[in-house]
Amino acid sequence: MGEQEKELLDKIRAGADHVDVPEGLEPENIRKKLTPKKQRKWRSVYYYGAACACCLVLVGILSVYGMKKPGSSESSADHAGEISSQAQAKTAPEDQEDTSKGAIPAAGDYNQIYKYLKNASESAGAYGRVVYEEAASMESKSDEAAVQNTDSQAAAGTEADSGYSDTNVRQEGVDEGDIVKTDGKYLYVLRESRSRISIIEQKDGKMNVVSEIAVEADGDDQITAEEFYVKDQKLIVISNAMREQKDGRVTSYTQADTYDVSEADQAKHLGTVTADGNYSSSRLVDGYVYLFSTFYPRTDCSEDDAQGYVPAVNGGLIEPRDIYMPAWPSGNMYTLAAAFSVAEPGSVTDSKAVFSQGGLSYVSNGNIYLCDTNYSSPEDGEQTQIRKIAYKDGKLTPKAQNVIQGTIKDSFCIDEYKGYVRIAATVNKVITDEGLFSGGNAAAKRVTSNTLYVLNEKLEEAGKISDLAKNESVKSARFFGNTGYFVTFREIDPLFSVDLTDPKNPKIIGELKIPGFSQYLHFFGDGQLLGIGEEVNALTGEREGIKLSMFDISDPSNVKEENKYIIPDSNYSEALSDYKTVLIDSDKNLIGLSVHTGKYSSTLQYMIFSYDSEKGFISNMELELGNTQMSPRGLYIGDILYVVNGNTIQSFQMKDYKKIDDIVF
Amino acid sequence: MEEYGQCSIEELAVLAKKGDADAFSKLYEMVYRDLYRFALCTMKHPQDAEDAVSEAVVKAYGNIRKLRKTEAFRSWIFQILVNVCKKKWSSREYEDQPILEEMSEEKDYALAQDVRNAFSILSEEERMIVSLSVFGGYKSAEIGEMLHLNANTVRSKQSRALEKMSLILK
Repeated sequence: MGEQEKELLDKIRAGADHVDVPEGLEPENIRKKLTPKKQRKWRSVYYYGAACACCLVLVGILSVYGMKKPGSSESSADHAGEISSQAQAKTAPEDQEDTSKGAIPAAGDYNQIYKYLKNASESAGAYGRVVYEEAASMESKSDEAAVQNTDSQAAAGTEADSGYSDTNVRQEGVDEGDIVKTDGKYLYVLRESRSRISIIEQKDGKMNVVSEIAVEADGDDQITAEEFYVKDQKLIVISNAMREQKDGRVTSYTQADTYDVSEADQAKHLGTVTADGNYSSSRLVDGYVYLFSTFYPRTDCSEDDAQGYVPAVNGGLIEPRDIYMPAWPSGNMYTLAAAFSVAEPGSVTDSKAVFSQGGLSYVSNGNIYLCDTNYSSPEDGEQTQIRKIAYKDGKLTPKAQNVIQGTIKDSFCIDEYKGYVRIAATVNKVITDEGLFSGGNAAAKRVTSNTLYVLNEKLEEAGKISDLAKNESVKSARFFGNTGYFVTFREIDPLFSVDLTDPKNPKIIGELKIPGFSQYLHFFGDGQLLGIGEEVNALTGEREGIKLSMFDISDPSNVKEENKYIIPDSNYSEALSDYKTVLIDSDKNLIGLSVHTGKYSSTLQYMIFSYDSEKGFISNMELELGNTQMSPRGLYIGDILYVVNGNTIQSFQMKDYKKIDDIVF
Repeated sequence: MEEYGQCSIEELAVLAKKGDADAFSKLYEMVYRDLYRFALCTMKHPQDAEDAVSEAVVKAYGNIRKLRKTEAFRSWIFQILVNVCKKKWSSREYEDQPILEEMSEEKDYALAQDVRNAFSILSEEERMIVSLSVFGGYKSAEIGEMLHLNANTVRSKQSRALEKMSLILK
């Protein structure tokens, strides 16, 4: 954690210093509340007993993390009783060299996995920690946002021909689920309760609710819809579900339900696929859905109880040959990938489980890249493990793996083109200074720089440029064919252009320095690159608001910021962290994003801009919205703009942004 | 409750496990301010925060016998509170509630204005991660266990949340 983050945490803590705890929660009042009255003591006991039977059972879960030695600040005294084999942990890094590169090794059998997990949990004992979990409480909802927004990107311009907008995605041709979709006729909206999807008919901006589809789990399991797809008159809803096991443990699984919505008012359920683990993300390509989830194996079960440590798909355990052993000595969870055909939505076409620490995923048009960063050896700087799994027609084939030095900020910083993978990574090195003034303690200094890697099909390094932008870190990147653009930041924002024509010899061909930085880059028509980010005062370092920049990239070696616009009084935009929230269409000259404004309080607005090289950014609409649990989305069908915010939709004429209709459902 | 003044946390936990409400209250006294602050920053409304803590306490007391490691009382009750808060989010009535801002007239809500504003632009999960870090004092791996997320995800979500908050907490 950086100094800046620590300062912020302190500030938040200080801000709560004067919070008065309500009287009802004072210990004395709680004591009175809990002390059973003598004459009806048995009843109270009975009451509490009943409460625990239906709401919670506590189990100890030995959690394993940080297999290698974390910071020395970790007090090992607290865990003295748990120290078992430090030596084992120390030898682990040596094995790493053998397994981290080249082919991805599969497990021989469950026994190998079991032993691995046992070893991992024992060697982690010194740093691991026992935490109690209110396991049986079916009242605990699954994590709503296990979805990793970091994973993917957007086709420049949406489907102009089809006359309606689609979710802004990481990779053109690779569809991603979202909370709002349209097929040009209906709007499909995930309600705030995350239990139902409403189908809304629209005509010339007038709307009415046609039907609602409720997602249902097996038996008493709890289910939360996360996102969905609409494709070829099918609706595919992906949910997180939780199940209470007989022994009181609670396990999570991901569920995909496919419905026929060719008749919107009579949706038919066609099939269900389940995969163990918390949902993390998914993709839809050529009629196949690929689900990614995260499964935490148990370490307290016996070897015979394979369900405890091997994930299942549609009720069947993953075969050992489909389980890939960790490259790090510390992978204590699985990333599970399962595929199914939308045409046969009740069965799985393939599934693989990969031991990992979790992290971002990038899906190109033919490959899945799982990237997880190992933070546990600060002395070497962070490293990222990249594993490549090819996919086609619902089949998954592991291809290669490798480790790079550095971290990858988001999925835009990794990009595949003609078999090569280009990565903009931020690299931290720790330089130890055992000088006279360090009082015998080595003083470590972190030095940050950035590296652009080009890896070949086998993920071997083909070329790279290191030591870029010292003391700055990558804020955003976008690759287009043989050219890449990336932004690093400390006080001012250099936008670098890279020529990648020769993969063995990437070259920096341009560098533009401007104040502030862009966190999201999007190609906007010919020779233009749109940046959404923040303006920062170059002298004082103060943030001055959300900034839209249009870069002229017609000559990549001489990039210019053609125009910029700082949204007055703006604090934040969802566009900075979640690309699915933006609506960008260069053919329609449309830029839509949600922005939080206001000096002393925060007002949520949905804003629409157009762009003109002469006049710059033109604000066409500023619509004030109430805060909801889901961020707003803008979409268009023909000439009508729809702004969806929680359970409300408003429609506008795009020629003058006059309101047509609104609906609350 | 003075007679418990000299007891260690472990001794109190042992007594509490035998159903001693006074010992339990003593344990609770050590953590309740942080519990409430956590709930206040995680929930939309002070009343929800109070209800959540109250519910968590009753649950914890009802199940204290199942606390295996007596020294882990704090983590344990925090975990129960986390689950109660999550449950509250998903309930229908919570969804229909007005947002935090409109509640700013509340008397007992003495959270600094800018901190409250900064929390208001976060998602529920982000609020929870930041609050667990600030008021629970937990590291990302520990928060990950409580929320069923991996440590890396917690770390990146926390940085993103703090980045958002920094825009308001200049």
